[in-house]
Amino acid sequence: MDPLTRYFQNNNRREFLKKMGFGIGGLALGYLLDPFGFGKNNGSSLTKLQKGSLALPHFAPKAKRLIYLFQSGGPSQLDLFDYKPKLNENRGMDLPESVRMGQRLTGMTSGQATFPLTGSVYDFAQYGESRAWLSELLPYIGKIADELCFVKSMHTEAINHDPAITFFQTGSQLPGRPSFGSWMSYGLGSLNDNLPSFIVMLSKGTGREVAQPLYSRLWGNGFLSSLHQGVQFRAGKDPVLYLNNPEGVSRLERRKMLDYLAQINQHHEENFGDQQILDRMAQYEMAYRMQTSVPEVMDIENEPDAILQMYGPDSLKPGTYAANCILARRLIEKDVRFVQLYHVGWDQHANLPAEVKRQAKDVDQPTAALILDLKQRGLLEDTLVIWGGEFGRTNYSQGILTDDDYGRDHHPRCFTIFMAGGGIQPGMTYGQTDELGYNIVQDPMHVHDLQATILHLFGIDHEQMTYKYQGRRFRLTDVHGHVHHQILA
Amino acid sequence: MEWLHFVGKLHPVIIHLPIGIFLFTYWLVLLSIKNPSKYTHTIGWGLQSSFYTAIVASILGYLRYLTEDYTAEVLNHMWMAITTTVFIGLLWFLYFKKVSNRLFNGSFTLVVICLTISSHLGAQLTHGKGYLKLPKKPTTVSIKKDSINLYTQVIHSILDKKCVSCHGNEKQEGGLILSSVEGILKGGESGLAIDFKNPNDSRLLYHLELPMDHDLRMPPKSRTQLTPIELELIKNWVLDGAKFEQTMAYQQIDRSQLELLEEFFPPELNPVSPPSHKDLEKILAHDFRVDQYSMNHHYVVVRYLGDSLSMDAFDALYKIRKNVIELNLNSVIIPPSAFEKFRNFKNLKKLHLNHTNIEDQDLASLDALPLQLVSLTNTRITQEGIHQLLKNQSLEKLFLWKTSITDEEKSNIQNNSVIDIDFGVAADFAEKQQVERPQMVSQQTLFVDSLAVSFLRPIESVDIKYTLHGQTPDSLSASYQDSLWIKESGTLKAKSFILGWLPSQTTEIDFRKVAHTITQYQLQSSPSGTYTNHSNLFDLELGSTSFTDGYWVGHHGDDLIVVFDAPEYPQFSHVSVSSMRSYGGWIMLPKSIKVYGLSRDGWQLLSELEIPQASEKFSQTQKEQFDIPIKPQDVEQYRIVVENLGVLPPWHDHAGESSWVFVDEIYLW
Repeated sequence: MDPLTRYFQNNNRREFLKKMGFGIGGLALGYLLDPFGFGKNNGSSLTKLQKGSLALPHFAPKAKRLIYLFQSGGPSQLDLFDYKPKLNENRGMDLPESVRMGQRLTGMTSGQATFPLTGSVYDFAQYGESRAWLSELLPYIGKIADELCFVKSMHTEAINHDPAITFFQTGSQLPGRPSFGSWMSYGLGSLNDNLPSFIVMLSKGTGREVAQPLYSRLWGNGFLSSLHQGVQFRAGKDPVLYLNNPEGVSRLERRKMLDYLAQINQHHEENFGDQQILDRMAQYEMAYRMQTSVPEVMDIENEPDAILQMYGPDSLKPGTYAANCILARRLIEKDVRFVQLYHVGWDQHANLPAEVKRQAKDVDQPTAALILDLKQRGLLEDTLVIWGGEFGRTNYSQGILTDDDYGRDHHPRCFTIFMAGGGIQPGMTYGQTDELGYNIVQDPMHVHDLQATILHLFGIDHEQMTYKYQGRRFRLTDVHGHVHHQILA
Repeated sequence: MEWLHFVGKLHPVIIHLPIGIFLFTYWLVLLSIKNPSKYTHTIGWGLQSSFYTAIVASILGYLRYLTEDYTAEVLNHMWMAITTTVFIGLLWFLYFKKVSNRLFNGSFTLVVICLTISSHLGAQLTHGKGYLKLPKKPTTVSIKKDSINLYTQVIHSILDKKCVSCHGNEKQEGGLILSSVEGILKGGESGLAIDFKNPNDSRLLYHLELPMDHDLRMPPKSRTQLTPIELELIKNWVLDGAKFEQTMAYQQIDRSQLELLEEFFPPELNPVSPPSHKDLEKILAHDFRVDQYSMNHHYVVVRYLGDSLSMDAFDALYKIRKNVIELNLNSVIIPPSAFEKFRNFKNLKKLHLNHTNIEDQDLASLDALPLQLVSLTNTRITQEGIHQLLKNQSLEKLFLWKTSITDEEKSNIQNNSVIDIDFGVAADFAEKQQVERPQMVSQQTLFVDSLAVSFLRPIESVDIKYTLHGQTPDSLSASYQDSLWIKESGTLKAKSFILGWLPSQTTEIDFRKVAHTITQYQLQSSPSGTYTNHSNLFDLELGSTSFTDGYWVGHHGDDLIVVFDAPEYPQFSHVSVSSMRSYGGWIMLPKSIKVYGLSRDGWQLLSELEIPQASEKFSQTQKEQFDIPIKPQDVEQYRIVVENLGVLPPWHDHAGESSWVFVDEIYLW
């Protein structure tokens, strides 16, 4: 080998050892690769861990696991959570310029001659001791209102689906940054040796026939190690594609093959010192373990009838939101760090009353059941559940407003999400919008604020969890974000 | 007065003008030592500018002195600054006098020293005395392991770190000194810092809790903020009566406060020493998973990964029992002798024992532990055990779903306890659900000999009951196993049952046993568009409601006419034609269907069916089958004419345009 290559190799090696030894990436990675790794240092191993300046968690965590029930498309907060009687009173009136204040609209309604205000056709009532307002479309959520913290003052910067979802998932509207779950996996490591620490499941809503598509980059690892990539579990026979052995290859043979492959890779790694080789080796091993762990966790047939009933009739249909909720609980029981569900079809530009009713029915009972099911198993204590979309919907009708029909356009200036468990104050409504449900008047919570607050619950100072890439230290919250202590238990 | 106060505030800004210009001028003087005439003009200008701005700055400074509260210390700065200003004036004078370079440069240097001293004094007033000090070692707080004085060990150090630079002896913003007990008791100009009668109204807390953007928020937006833990500690201390002297034993401090303190003190001060490397190695080798609780603690969270815990493994863990803050043994078989040893896990706060073999008597060892949460879901624990467990005063949450506790006992326990007990989701949470109706795997309903039908079975426990002769299935009907065979024409009715669910709606499917497969035929009309695949007309497979799915043959404006040979042994009583209608596709049902037979007498009409038409707009796309009864006759060929309505009716949006007729299947049975 010529001296120049050797020099660069050593440089790489040094880089790698540095990361393994001191960096926070090293901690998480070391843990994923070798759970005993931290025991191999001299002296007191835990002390050694503590000495790393970026070691995590920074402080005692309230939550260890997260289920993010992402409602893709933008659920109408005005028909589900944010009760605005004033909108019903002023039905048909044009949105006053004093309220809109020239804020931008999407191309779908910016050409409209008028913006007729419309309240919800659905009735609202207060639920639980916390007297949370909810529409009649969410009777089961109403039953668990006292477990939930509603944030009515979420706001975002993006106005179209993909940038808005990307913003929620990666902290940036432009694609390319690591997903939330990847950051968590990177920062905190895996709690489970046999399953990925970040798992994603998709379901299609009944609200809208043709829903906005989702890109798999939403759960991509960006510039982080591929170990932290979200793994999609599909409904049906083959939950993870290409996981099973090819026909005629036994598990034993697979093992042998992997061992030989590891030897070759090891050799290659010794020559080149490239971290990606180690990542790849770890991925092969994870896939091998998943060959047995995945079928076990995906087999919901042994769930008792009472549990299936709880999650509702859809729980029997693989690939539905309800079935995914049951799976999410099973994964959390297995100590998967971050389970992300996407339920698509919340994009009601037209025909909203009929569509949102079906769509809400998809999620109402399963979501409530999931939260209660986690609770009765003692898991809600340290599992955070988040329900919410990428933005809200307008207080005026997109298209013609008729007696029983209207549509709503995207509205990033205010929308509602709710959370439960994992150190969140239960039975609380946070933030407030104006009487017409257009702007926020109290306690605005930006997407970065939400991310900072969630990281805080996991014992992470969002300003300290960084990854250096292309000469810059990146954060999930970029250069923004404040923890909202008011919603913490 | 108000605006004088404001103008005075500009002093720290304006002061940088004379300093800057003057030092720059000095720089020019130094540069021109070798070449005296080089910058002469600029030096004069510099002296003039710095003199004038120095006068302005002095006046502003004096205003600030009048309107702000400074101790006598400010006078040093003031006189020194005025002197410096005068000296600058004198320098300017010397410049005009064109004195010797040595004298001029020397005096200049002296004035620079003067300026440095006076600015330093000023800076100390603005930034506090400690500003320029080299970083000192943080004062080590000695912690006695058993007791704590909140003020000296905690509150004082927080104030010292975050407040005293502005509210200390040197600089007393608002007249408030927070560095000493006397200062705190004395308060500031606007009132007492601590209100001992209504601690909640204390000004100290008021300023700390104002929103970040508020002018009176402390520490101000630009300064280092209190951490949430520090704020909480100060708040608790004030609300508790701001005791300066009291020393409390750790046992007396309530738990949430203890947690805050543990977070506040660096890990070295934690009462627990870190687990040793050797112990950890052993524990990990025994299939435990150990995670550090947080960087501020030596506590660990432990989970056992295996199914059955050996005493050896437990003893390995026992070595670090004081470090274990959370222990998860869910779904693990635990050796009974291990339970007894739980009593020595002195720092255990969360214990998960779901799906384990724990018994009532084992709970006795949990009595004295600082447990906050215990979960015992799916265990054999009874009421007795819970009574025992509830003696533990620290307990906050208890999970008892699926234990051997009766409903009656549950309400009894709940009523007699203040803590949060979860017995699982109430039975009436979910309304009884209806099962989805059975769905066939294949949509095939036409067959020649027999047809295997199978249903989708989303979940094993579904019981699908069916009948073949028209009755609605009930629990006594035949049960569907893996598949069933249909041998006759008839209606299959099926219903799904799951124990505890409402039975599904009934699925009804008509099956037709076809008497004869038509292979030889001649299409005498010409299909239109892309709907020309006429071999599908006799393939015994029905199309879907989508007319583009390939099964459908369409005619635009024309009738469909097809001729085929009569079967040799006619054993059928119907000719059936399957058709559809779709408003948006301009597809109407046939106007009529006519069956002709070719005998020796030529073509004769054998049977005819007039089809009633819609009289108004319809929205749903629908398939429909038309059965034309026919007596077997001695004919050689049959001709079927499916008559197109021709034009769209007057109520149609496109009235007058040619209509379509679609057929996917023609069969005899």
